[in-house]
Amino acid sequence: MKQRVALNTKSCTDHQPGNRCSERLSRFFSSPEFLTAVGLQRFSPAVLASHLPSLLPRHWKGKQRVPAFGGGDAAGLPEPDWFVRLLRFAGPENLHLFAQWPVVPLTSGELCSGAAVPSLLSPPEAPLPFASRPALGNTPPVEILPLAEAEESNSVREQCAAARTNPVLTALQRLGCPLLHPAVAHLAPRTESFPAAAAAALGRLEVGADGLAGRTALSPQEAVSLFELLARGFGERQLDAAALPPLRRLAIFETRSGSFVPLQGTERFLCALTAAGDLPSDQLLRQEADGEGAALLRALGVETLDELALLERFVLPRFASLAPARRAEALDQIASQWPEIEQRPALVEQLRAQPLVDLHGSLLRADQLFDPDKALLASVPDLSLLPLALPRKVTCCGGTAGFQGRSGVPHWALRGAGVACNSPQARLAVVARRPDVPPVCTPRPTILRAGPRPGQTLPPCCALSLGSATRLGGRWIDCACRTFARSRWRGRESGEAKWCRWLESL
Amino acid sequence: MPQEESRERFAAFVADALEYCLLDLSAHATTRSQHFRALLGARLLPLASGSVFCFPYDAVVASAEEQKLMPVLRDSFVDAR
Repeated sequence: MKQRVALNTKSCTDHQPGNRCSERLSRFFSSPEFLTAVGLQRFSPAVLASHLPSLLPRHWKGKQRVPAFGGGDAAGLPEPDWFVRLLRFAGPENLHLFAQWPVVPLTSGELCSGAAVPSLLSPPEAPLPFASRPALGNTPPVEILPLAEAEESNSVREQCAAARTNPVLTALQRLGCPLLHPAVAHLAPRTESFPAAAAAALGRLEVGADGLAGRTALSPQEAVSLFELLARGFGERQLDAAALPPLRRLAIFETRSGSFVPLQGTERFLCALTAAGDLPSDQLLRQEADGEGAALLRALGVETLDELALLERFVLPRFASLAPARRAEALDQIASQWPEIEQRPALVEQLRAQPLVDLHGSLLRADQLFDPDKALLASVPDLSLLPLALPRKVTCCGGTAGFQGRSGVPHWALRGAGVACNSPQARLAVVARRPDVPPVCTPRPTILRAGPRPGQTLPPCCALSLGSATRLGGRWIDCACRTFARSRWRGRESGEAKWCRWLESL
Repeated sequence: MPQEESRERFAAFVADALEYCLLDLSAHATTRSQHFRALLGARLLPLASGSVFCFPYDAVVASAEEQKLMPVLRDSFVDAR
């Protein structure tokens, strides 16, 4: 009877309003020994996991990711907050129990399995910096799965706001990176480097037939912010080499035309932002040639073009279509940078074959040029007469080779490259003294004057003929070519006398 | 509702009776597992569904919050109150 009285007094001390169970009784139900003895089991994450088939669609089992609240059929599913409660109850240490079941909510409203959590992107704890570029375009806002109950927490609410508005996070979500919902961010292991995690998540994205470019439409601010995040991570050595190649698929690289393009497909280049403005801006990236951004681009295989490389790749191929002022600018560049050009055999070859000098509306190659400064040559009314007037045999001094015609055709020896008049139609053939200069037939005789004088300022059309044309295969008359045989002149006597005087005057 | 009220009273009685038995068994049994086994066969296990079952029963002990996670197990949960 004493015990009964004691029981009654204690049984009224309920530890929660509305509870019949006394603290003493609840202690019994907390005792594993008691539960085992009477065949009861304590509710646990394992028990919860074992009963998931009765709550979720059975075909979800084994799926890594299901649409669920992100565009899927959510009818009959527990409310979104239920998944948060479930995972909070289970805790990260029991995530393996849900490896087969998609119960982890993403910001997109999709659900991922516990096994997929390591591959998810966890929202950063600290706010991410982003580009100050205006958010242009018609990019729609990013909607994330609303979790009213979970967002009562300040930290979750702030992280949800960031997921909706931070350009880096919105960019990643638009690109398809699975971002763990901030309400369950505790499930993922702490992210040491968000740029590295972002790069890894981007690398795991599935690529369609058109790459990633057609999948998303990032705003300029998003694209620049994401690029800057990755560049910062690369600069701080947080991105490993394996993470880089997939980044080439992203349309986050800004060109000089203002568009955002991937690096794959079309070759893109870096160059100084001060480079001339009429270059093909879709192929040139808008990025300072130094700094983190440029370093990342170079690591992604983007070639940096200096002024001469730009000339070689973009200016020369469309030289004929350039405005006269731009042509003159290019010729000035060639003349002023000739010492550097000489170090680039490919560029020299390109210049050699390139019609560059405008003469009366026609662009001529260097080896087609006449010396504009030689009054005597300029006065020659018909250069087709020239070979007829030349001596058949030329003896050169100063180490220059002389040439003897094989069939009575007169020859003319020049320094650097011999020029032979091999037909009455004045077609000249270059006989290269240097083995690396192949013989070239030119339609018109080419006579260039001697090299430029130091400090001489020349008009663009002369720049090549004087400074570099010789090196490009242009020919100029050897001033040492003064002595020649006069035994077999052709033409009239007056013509012979004229050409003799001229040659001696050289 | 009279029926609801009487069910509540019965549940309260069962809880008191179970606690009484457990205290009594704890005081007299030589080993703890032995005194718990004495409950087998006693109809003193209240479930969340309002039913009372005999020990042993394959039921799950969970708090009210935990029971909300698995509403489908209502018939298997021990009455949380």
